[in-house]
Amino acid sequence: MDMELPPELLELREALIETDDITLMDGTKVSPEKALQDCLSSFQTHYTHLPDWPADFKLANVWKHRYLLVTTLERVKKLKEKGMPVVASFMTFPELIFGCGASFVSVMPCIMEMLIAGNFAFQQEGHRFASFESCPGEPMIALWVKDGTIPADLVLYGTSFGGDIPCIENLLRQWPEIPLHYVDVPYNGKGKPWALDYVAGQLHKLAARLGRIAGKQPSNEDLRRGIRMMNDLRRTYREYVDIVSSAKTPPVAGMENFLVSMSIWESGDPVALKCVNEQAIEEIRERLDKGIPGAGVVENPIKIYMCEKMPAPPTFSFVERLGGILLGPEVADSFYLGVEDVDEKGDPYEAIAQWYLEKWPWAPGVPLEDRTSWIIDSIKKYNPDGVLFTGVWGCQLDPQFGRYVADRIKKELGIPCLLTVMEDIPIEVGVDGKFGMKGDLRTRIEGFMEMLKARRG
Amino acid sequence: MKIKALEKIDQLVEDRKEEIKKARKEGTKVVGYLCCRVPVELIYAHGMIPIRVGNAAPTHMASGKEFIHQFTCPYIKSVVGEFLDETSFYHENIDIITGSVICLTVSRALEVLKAYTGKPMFPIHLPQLPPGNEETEYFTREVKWFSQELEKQTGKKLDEGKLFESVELSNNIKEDLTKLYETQSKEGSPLTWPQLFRLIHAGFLLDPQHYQTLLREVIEEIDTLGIQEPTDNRARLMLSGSPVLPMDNLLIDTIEGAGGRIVTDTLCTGIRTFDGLSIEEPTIEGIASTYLHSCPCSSAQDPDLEKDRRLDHMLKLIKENQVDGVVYYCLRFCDPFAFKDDETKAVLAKKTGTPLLPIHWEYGDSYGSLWTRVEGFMEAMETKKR
Repeated sequence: MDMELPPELLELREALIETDDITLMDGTKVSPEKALQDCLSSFQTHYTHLPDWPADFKLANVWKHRYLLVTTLERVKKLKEKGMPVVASFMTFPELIFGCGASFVSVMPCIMEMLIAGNFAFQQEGHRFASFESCPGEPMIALWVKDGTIPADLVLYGTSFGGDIPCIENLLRQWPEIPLHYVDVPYNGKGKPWALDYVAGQLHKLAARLGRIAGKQPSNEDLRRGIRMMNDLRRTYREYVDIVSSAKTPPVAGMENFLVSMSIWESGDPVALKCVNEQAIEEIRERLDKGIPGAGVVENPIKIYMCEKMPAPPTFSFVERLGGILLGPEVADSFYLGVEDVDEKGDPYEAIAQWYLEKWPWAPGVPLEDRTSWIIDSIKKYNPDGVLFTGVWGCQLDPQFGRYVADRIKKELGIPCLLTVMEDIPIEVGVDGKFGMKGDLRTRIEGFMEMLKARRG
Repeated sequence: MKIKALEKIDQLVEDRKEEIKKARKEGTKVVGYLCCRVPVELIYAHGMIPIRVGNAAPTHMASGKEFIHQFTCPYIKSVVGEFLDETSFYHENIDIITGSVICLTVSRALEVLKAYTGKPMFPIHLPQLPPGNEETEYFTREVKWFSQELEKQTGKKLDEGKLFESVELSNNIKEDLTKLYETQSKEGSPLTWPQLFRLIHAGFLLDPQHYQTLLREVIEEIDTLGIQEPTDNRARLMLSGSPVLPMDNLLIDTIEGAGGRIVTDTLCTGIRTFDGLSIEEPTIEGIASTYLHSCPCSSAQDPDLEKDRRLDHMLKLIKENQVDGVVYYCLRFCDPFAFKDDETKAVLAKKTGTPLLPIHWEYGDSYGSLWTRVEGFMEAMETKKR
């Protein structure tokens, strides 16, 4: 799309075209110029609210994360056209899905449809079908699968993983033509061999079903390849966090950090993500060496770790204007930070089962004490001044733990934790699409920042 | 109608609390549990005392919010609030916490209770999918694990003879409750569903031997009273949906006050505490199989709507009890039931033509809006009958 670019975008374009292509899972190469063009055209045609978010126009490679974000559905449709099955999933068992030669779409495009396309009616439709008490994302997966926006061959859910499993069941049972597959993952199953057998047995069935869809039954080596893809990807995120967390003044702004870390939830194409992560890491490392801070980040800012999930987008720049930065969030870090890789050598079914049963800190098999210990270790890595715990409206998964986590953080790390709630997205950002910030959160963040500054002295 | 035997309940409950305190002093452990799918027979067989926790006192719900998020259902907030009140009976007298985990929120509550009380906690994961061989094998091992954990707590091996006795007693109680349930549903029964509901709740605390004695007294008295002249009612109703806890009387009183007659339910604090739970084989395998194959709550996943265990159970009870309408109770943030109200309504409309009234509710909500909705529902059913 031809357009006259403002000076900051012209500058970005100059920097971006000097960088490498993005390599996608099917081997396709996307030039940086095309990535920028697609981003800009999506800002005009669909994701019209993305320009409202603060942006670092000098950090070229994270624009490739933006590209992957805004093209998720388009890319998955292309993969489908090439014969690759598509699984709609709540970020469960990607190793197995990729090993079976399939791709997947997580809940994130649905969240983005509201956050950056401003399609609040979509959320309301989800509530109408499920309940006004449902989370902002999960009903929409079902709606999009139903209308073909997500060209899913299978909807896959791990019980105890999603906060709103009943709504998925409820919605999809209305349309039995949509194939639905559950894997029952036992709560508190850590250390129970029978729980591991149970999950591994179900993964065999899942692989067989995906094999039937793909027209080829996966071998153990195929599954190990899927495991390696995700492990390789995890390593890039770890490297990224090492750089950001070790810097006194982070070389990325809160928004860019969010775009990189949350992209793990878009790992429908782990090859592309690994590629753009590596490129971004190189650029960010260079920034760090030169002492260049993220755009809008003050020197030695007040660091706030985002525990559980993240607040609405306007909060990122708001915190930066007050002299701080938001880092994390836990929902992304849980996939890679201080977490063992999935075993690449043994039985792949058992390895995947074990990871989602007892190694992933968010796994239902992991007791709250263990998960909180992992949170505390992660927070230590970032060495923040404070913690912002955000529970999302309607999520029955984790907000329940907020008080306990906050108490442990305060006791063991001596830093304060602010518990907040992300309500329905229109309430958070305004139905007018102006992306303001709701008043109660604004005043609480202001007070929290004042307190953190005072603690520094 | 007054049933004399039922008038003893309050006193029996108070006496039982003192008995439990005394038993603890003598070394007996008390197990507090959530959910009707905890195998209480096994707890008794280990020489322990099971107590099903939870009541609907609004003060407990308010204090529960200090420890568990406001997006949690009032039932769980209330349980947490009472349990973590250091002066409460639960807090002082429960040694071990357990629950059958099929509802995600129950799992969260158990974690929070363990975290803040430091008491041992042994959750039992009930498979969420329809039971097949894998689910049976998994759950049998899970129940064995639970039993082994109880053995560690008592320092004694499970005695097969005691398990046999415990299962037999429990089966007898379930048989008596089934009989009472059938009786209360009959026109002219001297026993009403609210009376029976309260009697069921007494069983959450009372010693099973004493409880069975009480049940037999009630049965005897009712048999003596015989069927009475039927009283007028505007509709025969089923109460379904989220847990209705002890002290959560407003909806029941409103329905009965509006001239409705509850004749059956599908509640985890009502019929599902005994229906389908008679254990044929007094072994761990037999216990696991019985609980696994009983009707689950709405938290379970039945991908095929046509084979939904909960709905099949509901339809069966509607037919058996000539139900005119269903009042479907959805506690706030009780997603498993709240999300399925429309679907349940549509299935009932299609298969039996039975109307369903969804009531979305938080403890302490306005009586006025409740009454208006119940009254409107009654009128609609009367019109339909005519």
